[in-house]
Amino acid sequence: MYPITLTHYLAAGAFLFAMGVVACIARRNAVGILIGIELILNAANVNLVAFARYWNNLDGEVFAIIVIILAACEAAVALAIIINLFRGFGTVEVDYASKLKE
Amino acid sequence: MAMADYFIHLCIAIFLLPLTAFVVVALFHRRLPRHGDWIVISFMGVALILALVIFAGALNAAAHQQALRQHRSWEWLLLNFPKANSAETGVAGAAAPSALEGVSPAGAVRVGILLDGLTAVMLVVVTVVSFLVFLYSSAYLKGDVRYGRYYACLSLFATSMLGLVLSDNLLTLYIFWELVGFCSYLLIGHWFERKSAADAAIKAFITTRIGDVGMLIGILLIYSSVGSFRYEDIFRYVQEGGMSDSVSILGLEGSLRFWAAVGLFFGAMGKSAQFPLHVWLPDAMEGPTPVSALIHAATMVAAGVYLVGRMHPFFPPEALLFVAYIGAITAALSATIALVMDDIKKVLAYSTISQLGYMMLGLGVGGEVGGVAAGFLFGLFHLTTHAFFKAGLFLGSGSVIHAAHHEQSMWQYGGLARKLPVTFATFLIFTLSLCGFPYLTSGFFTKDGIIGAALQFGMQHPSHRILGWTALGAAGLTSFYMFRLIFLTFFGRPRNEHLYHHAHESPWAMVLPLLVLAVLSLGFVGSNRTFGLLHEDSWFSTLVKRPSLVAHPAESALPAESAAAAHGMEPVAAEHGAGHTADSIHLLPEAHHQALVGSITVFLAGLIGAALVYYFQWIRADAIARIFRPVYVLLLNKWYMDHLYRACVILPYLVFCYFIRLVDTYVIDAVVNFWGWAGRAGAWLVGRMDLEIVDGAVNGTAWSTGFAGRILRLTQTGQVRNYILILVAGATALLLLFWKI
Repeated sequence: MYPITLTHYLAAGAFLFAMGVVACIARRNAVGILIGIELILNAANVNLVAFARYWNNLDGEVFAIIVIILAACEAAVALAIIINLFRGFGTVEVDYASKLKE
Repeated sequence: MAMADYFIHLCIAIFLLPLTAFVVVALFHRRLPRHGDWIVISFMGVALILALVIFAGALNAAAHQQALRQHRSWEWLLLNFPKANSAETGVAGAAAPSALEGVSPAGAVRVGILLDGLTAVMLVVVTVVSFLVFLYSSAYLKGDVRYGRYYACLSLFATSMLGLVLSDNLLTLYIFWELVGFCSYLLIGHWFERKSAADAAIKAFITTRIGDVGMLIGILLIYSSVGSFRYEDIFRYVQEGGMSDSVSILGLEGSLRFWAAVGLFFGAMGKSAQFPLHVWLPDAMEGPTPVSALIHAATMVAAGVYLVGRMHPFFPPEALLFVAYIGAITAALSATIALVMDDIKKVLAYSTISQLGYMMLGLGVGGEVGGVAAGFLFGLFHLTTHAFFKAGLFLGSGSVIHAAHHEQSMWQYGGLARKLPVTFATFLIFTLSLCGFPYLTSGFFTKDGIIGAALQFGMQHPSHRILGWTALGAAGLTSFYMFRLIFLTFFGRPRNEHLYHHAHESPWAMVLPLLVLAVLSLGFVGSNRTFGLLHEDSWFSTLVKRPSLVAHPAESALPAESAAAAHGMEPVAAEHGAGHTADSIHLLPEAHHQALVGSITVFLAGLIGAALVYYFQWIRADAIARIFRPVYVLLLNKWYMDHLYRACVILPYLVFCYFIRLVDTYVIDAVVNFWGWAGRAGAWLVGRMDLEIVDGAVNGTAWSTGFAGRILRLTQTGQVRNYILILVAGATALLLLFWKI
């Protein structure tokens, strides 16, 4: 059995980040994009915790907690925007929210 | 001398009076009542009184055996010509004009006033005739369109003429000389709406200008040698043997002095209408008749005679001979033309030319060496008397023309004596004076003197006998054509009834000058005994002396031959001068006798001939004309002089002008046009470059910027995921690019 090394954590983080980015690019649903962003943030969290563990100090973990708080705030604001989007357009598809373009 | 200042100041006043009148009238004649003619006339009247004062002073001085000679000059210009400087360095030498040093720096041109007997006489002549003509014009030109301009020109003319006779040097004389010519031009062209008048003005101006070129050359020759323009400096210079270098022009050998004198005489020929430059004077009759009287009979045309008289000592004997021959030819030639003229003024014009020829003849034979002193004297004396009676003749003809409503052909007149009694009486006096009616008229004395001098000259130099005979013959012609004029105009039956009925005597302003001039044409003016001065001399000969350059044997103890030889003259003078004092103003008795008998004979012959043809009509004029048809045609065409000029001068000139025009058109214009074309082509090229290359570059930049913008705009979709995709793609690309592991 191979031991789980830093590289594995970083790879998992990169995988999560890639998934998040793909979600942001491919999804048209505003909630999906929000989830993608959460995935990106959490990929960063994985990296932070992994490096904290690797260097044996708590700096990374503290950052990770700040990121979680940030993500919560962001989710709250984003959901509020999405609700307003829905109220305005009757849908949460972001492609329809193109009034500024016209 | 206190008197000197007094007279010089009078001279200045005489000069300034008409000048002031000219300025005032020329500027303000539109605002002045009667266009200011009263200013011009009254100012000239004052000048006349002042001239008479000077004249009286001169006579007074002569009565006390003194000659009036006053001189004042002022420094005017500084000319630093090399010759003028060399005059200063040459002071140590023999022939330097000594009057200059100590007074002015070298090269200074001094101008001034010279008042001597001749000037005094000329002042009187000019002011008298001017005043009378000014007065006459006020009636003759009443209501003329350019009345004010006319008087301004007259006044300017009088100013210039007075300046001319007051000058003490050739420079200001030349300036005034040109000014009188200019005034003549203006006044001949007074009625310039008529093409003939405008042409005549131009002809007069150009013809006299041709002579003036010679005069200018003469003056410059003199100045370049002498370094001064003043008469006295010039005379002193030639007296000391200056200007004797031999110069050859056109194969003719002559001293520098000779050529300068001939040059001066060319100017006199133009101005005094001497053959062959006489052609302008008959045409000048296009001007108003008072102008003809003043300028073209009495004063301006006499300026040439005055010049020759004033510069007389400067003229070497050869030049004087030239003067004499030109004068004789002119006198005879124009007298023959006057025989056949129909226009009353043309007859008088040719008569004037003829009389001017007499004056030149007199001056020409009046040389100091081998000449006849009386010739000089009577030449200038004839100028004086002629001024009065010829001005009178012109004013009389003006009176006739005025009465005849500007009809000038004598064949339209006839019997006018009854209608114009005063004009006729005065005209008769003038005519008798011109023809030389014995003893009672002034013209007799002076013309007789000239003829006598020419005859005596012929006795002294047998090869030049022709001069005297020509003069005598021309006198007979004069008598004939003048009585032809009288008979045709005043006698016989009226040939134009309408004109005759409307004829009337002229107003007093025209009659009065005629009366005054008639008095001045009477015998006392020319007689020896007038004013009871001296026993034998006339008043004129006491006033006007021939200046002498030749040292008299008594003074210099030089033999006559060597004195003559020193001046490069023929020794003829010495042998003939023996037994007769060279300076005597009296003619030899036999010459005097011949002239007297001859001139009375030809006078009577002319009178009787004219009477037979035109009064009694025993001989028909047209029969004579038919018999002598070639001669008649020749005379009618004025010896073909105008044709000759047209063929020899004007036509070649026009041909020359034509060629010059061709050169202008095909060479100069071609060059100019080529450069114009080249400029246009270059500009086109540059224009294209601007349009294509410069503008192309600018437009290209703009277009490519726009194009790039259009392309790049495609990436700006406004969708965040596209941006993220590009971001990721870019990040991935960078990752792969810098992947070094």
